[in-house]
Amino acid sequence: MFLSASKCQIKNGGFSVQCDFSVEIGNHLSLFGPSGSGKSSVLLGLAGFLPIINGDLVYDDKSISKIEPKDRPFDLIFQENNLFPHLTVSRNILLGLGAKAKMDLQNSRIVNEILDLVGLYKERNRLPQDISGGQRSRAAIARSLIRKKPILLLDEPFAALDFELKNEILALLLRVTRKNNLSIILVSHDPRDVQYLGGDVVLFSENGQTDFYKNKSFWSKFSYKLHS
Amino acid sequence: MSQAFLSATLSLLLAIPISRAIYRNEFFCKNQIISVIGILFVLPILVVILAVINVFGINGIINQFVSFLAFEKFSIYGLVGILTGHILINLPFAVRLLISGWSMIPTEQVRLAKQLGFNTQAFFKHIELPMLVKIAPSIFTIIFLYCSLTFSIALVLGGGPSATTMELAIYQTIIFEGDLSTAARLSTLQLILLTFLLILATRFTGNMFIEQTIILKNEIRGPKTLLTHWIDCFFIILFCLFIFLPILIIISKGLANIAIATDKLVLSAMNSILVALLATFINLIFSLALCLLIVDEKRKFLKIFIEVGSFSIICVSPLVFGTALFLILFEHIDLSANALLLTGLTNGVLMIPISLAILLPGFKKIKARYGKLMNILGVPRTSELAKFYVPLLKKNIKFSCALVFALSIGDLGVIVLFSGDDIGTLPMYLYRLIGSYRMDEAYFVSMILLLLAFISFWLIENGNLNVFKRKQMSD
Repeated sequence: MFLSASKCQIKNGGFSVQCDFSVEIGNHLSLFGPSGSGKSSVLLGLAGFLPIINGDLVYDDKSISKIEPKDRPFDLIFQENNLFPHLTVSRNILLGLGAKAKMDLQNSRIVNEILDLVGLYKERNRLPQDISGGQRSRAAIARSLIRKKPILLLDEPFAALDFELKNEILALLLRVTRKNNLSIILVSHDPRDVQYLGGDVVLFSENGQTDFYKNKSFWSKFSYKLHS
Repeated sequence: MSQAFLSATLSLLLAIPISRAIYRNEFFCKNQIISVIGILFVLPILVVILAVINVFGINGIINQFVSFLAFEKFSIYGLVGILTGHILINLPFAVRLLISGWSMIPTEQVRLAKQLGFNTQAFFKHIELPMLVKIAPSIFTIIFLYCSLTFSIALVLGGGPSATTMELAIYQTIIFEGDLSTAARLSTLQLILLTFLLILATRFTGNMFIEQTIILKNEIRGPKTLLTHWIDCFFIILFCLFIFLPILIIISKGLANIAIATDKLVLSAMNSILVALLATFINLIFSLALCLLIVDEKRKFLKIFIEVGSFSIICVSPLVFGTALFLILFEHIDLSANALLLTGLTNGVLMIPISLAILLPGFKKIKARYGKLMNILGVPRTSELAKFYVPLLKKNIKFSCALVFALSIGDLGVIVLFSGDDIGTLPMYLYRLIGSYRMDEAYFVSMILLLLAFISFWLIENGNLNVFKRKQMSD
């Protein structure tokens, strides 16, 4: 199965950005470039929060440009405010099963399994403000996983974390996506994140231009610049 | 206290759907309406009373309509009158603060709700309700305190002892019975009750704060159905009618009775401006000093004590404060001759909590962000205010001054305790006109008072106060 964006033009207020890419489910994609180049706008467009005014977004041979965010094959993790502050970690994760989902035996088992997977079982009854930034990221990932969407959209969700913690969470993500055959589309301006994630790259320029590169061709072309 | 409880509850219950409807819909003149709601904070009480009588009174528009439909007319005097007056003043205030609350909901959470497919109920439960739980108690408390501490509305619209308030009881005890010990007992009881309520609300929601600007995000604001759309329309129209109709009636009646300003009117207006200037000056000095004291205090207990103490000034009855001043000073100075000075001082001091609610959050932010830098640079404490706080908080300071000035200009307040027949402010002049049933003149003076309050608020908040600096530069 593929997700492909063909000449997708996404409008964000008075600004618009166009991009072309395709990604096979199970592989990853990085949207890489400087701040203000439109990476997050593309991600919001994919998730259905900004309009696609030209081109088409196709998943599994069907156009998904016009459908509601909840019906798209994505789960978006934001930079912040991913958890509802009045709900405990486990209640936040339960929302992934539906707004009306109850913490019955079956759902409780599903939530606990995911909590175990992301290493948050002990923290299940704590409120978001009472756990660390890294734990909040893990909880958001857990809710994304429980929704069983094939593509995770990450809008620099680990920007506030230190390097080691960020790598630890990326490693967790790579592990679970590999196991469940999921894809990640990551927005970042840090080449180390792009390298860690692997996969293809859409390079955003300050002038609004975007170029799609296969993984190897990207690194062979820009490796010396990015590491200097 | 029951009328204050009812007024605060009704204002809040009405403000929730109204502010929600205004925030989440786009309609003609939306931004202008939100701006006007901001100015309605400063509606002079006597003007509100006249407006209520004109719209809801026995010969008011509503009763004429009721009579046209062959129903019996109703009387506005009593609890209904007090509630209507208080709601007219407090509803715009509550709506303004709640719009601020809706706009503070993080965009990510609204998007998250869409992603998770929340319906109207789930959106309310997980997104809107937590915001309301956070800010509604402090809005309720402010309105409750305000309603407990004003007596003018109850005095004119109360219609007798069955519908009275504690503040009115204190007023009557002081003015008509001269029984100061009973007044002191009543006011101590009132102070204890209100301070207890304030501390309780602060524990739930943190300190009071008043956001000056509202950032209206373009993000879609939660799920909508045809039914919710029509309910929103109903509340927006109801609010506009309830708020703007009385003001328009006062202005139109004022214009219909336009007259050449008498010497008395000009003198009263000048006195009001003088009182407001004095109140603003005193208030600014005290507020800045208190803010600096609070953010600089390192001992936690003392810091909380000063902060809570400063905010609890809001629980002090203006009448009691005025009477205390009266008792302390009457042997030493001519109170009648210094009435304006004392009224300005009282207004300035009693409005400290309002300016603290506007200024203190900014002071705390600056201290947290630049405090260490100020220490490293060795900025003397005396220069911190001039070099950091004032320039960075210029907007908030202007807003605070505008609010204090305009509220003071429209306040009848404690001048009734000090003033003789010869000296008075514009609200007092209006009060005497209403008392002697010179209604044509009263409408004209109301319009002047209303315009004076609105224009001064607008000028101080938006006007360029840097004229001197600019002149200096051009020289």
